[in-house]
Amino acid sequence: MTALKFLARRVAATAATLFAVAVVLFAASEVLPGDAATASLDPDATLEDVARERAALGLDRPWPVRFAEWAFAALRLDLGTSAVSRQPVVEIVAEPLGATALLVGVTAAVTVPLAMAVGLISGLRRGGRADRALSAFSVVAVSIPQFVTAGLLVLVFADLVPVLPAISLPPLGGTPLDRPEVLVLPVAALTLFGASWAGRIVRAAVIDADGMPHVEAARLAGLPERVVVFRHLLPAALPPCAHTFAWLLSGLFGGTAVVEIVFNYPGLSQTLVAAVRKHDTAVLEGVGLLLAAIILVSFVLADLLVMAVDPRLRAAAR
Amino acid sequence: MSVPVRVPEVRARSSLRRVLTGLAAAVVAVVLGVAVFGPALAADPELIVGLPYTGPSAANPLGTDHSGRDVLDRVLAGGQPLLLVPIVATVLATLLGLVLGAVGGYFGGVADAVVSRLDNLLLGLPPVLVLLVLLHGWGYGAATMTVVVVLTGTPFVSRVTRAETMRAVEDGYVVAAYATGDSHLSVIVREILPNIVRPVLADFGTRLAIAVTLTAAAGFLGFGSSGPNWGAMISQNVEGIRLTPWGVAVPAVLLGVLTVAANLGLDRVVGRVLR
Repeated sequence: MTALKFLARRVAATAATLFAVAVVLFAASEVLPGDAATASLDPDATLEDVARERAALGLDRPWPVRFAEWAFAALRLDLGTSAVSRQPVVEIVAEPLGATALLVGVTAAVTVPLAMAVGLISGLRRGGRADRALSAFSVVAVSIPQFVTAGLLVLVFADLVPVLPAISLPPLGGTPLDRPEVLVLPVAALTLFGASWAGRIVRAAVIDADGMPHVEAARLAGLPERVVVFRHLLPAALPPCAHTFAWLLSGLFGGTAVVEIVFNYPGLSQTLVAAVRKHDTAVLEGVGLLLAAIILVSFVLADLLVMAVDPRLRAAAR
Repeated sequence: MSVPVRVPEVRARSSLRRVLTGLAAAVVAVVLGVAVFGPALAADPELIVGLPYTGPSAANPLGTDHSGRDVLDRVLAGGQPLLLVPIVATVLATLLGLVLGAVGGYFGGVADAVVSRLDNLLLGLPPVLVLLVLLHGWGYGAATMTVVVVLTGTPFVSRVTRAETMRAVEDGYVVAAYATGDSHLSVIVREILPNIVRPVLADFGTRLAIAVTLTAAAGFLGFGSSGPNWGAMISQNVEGIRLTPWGVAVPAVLLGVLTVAANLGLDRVVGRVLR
């Protein structure tokens, strides 16, 4: 199979999955009880008011028709209009998306090297003191809900040792980058979980790669350990790691939900949670579709990364 | 590499380990006890007993929360909703995953294609998104939380079951049972399931911890029932953390112990029972 054919097949499969996700998302948020018409009106509106509002919003048409319209508009990056705030969803979503992307980006930049380091250290010296300490720590860090970790971090750093802000609100009209210190605790909460989880999988991949014949051969040939690890062991351990990091991204977009709430960080999850509270169906669908698309695309990127770093796949694709 | 053998240190470490294990078990027992029996011991957790965010006093040993309610009573009453629903839902997800995975792995072909596609679709959805969409449609309730846990947990069970079933189908005893005229159902239930149940149940504790986390997260995000809930207490009281930390610290620590215990302890117990 050529690389191009592989890529084409992968993209087609991703598009199909995204379509299925869109159908499920739309069906779940539109067909389940309660819709935008009732959400945008006063509680004392009459039944006729609701019917008029439904007709005005086009909610009286069958849902497959509405789905087709919504899906085609989404292809043109038009996610509809919120029935609650009467604003285009794209406008509502733009700023929080940037804030969340920043949070996820910074977290990934800290988490990926940290997880690689943790995995390498404990994988190469498995059973050693460092490995046992790191393993015990990471099992606990993975088990504890992220909002508990976040709450405990606030407790320690904002209360007992008050050096960092407990609330991550950027200045009015600014972005979180104007006050970078607001990012420290949210990133720390997400990293504790992410680096522990990914570190476990990197560790397993390193142990796997350590047993491979070419690594043993490199050691027996008397190559310095540094060369053995970075030239021979690491490339063999990377493919499973790349997929782990794609999963991590998906987990981060979910994990930011609770962490953003703890720190009052103005991200996408705040928008999502607010949409559910206000029964703002258009925003819920828009954000949901966006998240699913980001996650599915990151899986494709992980596949490409694996192809780029794995000599066996490269050879097979040629 | 030679390993120096130092017997006394090993012995010291193992007795220390025994003490630590015992301590951990005692802590877990206390937390479980609070979650199970707490509601019976608590006074009315909705009663406003004083000003918001007051520190510990004789009447309110852990102080008051954001509405001036007694933190200790709410801690006692707030663990139970995080136990029953997650346990039932995780058991359901495991059973459903077993059935789907066994059918896909045993019959192959169209059945397998349907099961695999379904798994991949569900795995692509972030759990928090599933949680929020269903809360949007149905509101918070035992049924909603059960469906969320089943939807997000089933594909993991199903994938492992499918892979293990495909491996077991090739084994001689399965072929022999089929050759002697046993029905498909009988082969699956009597021959395959007993042999794949170990790897499938190996991470039951992990999935229970995830279910507890999701249920607590619903409360934490402000969608739980109005009743007390350790997850909800953390987000409700975080604003007053400088005035009194107990409304956040106590539920956070209890919830942390509960999920770590589910993840680590249960896996160990399941492993021991199945051995």
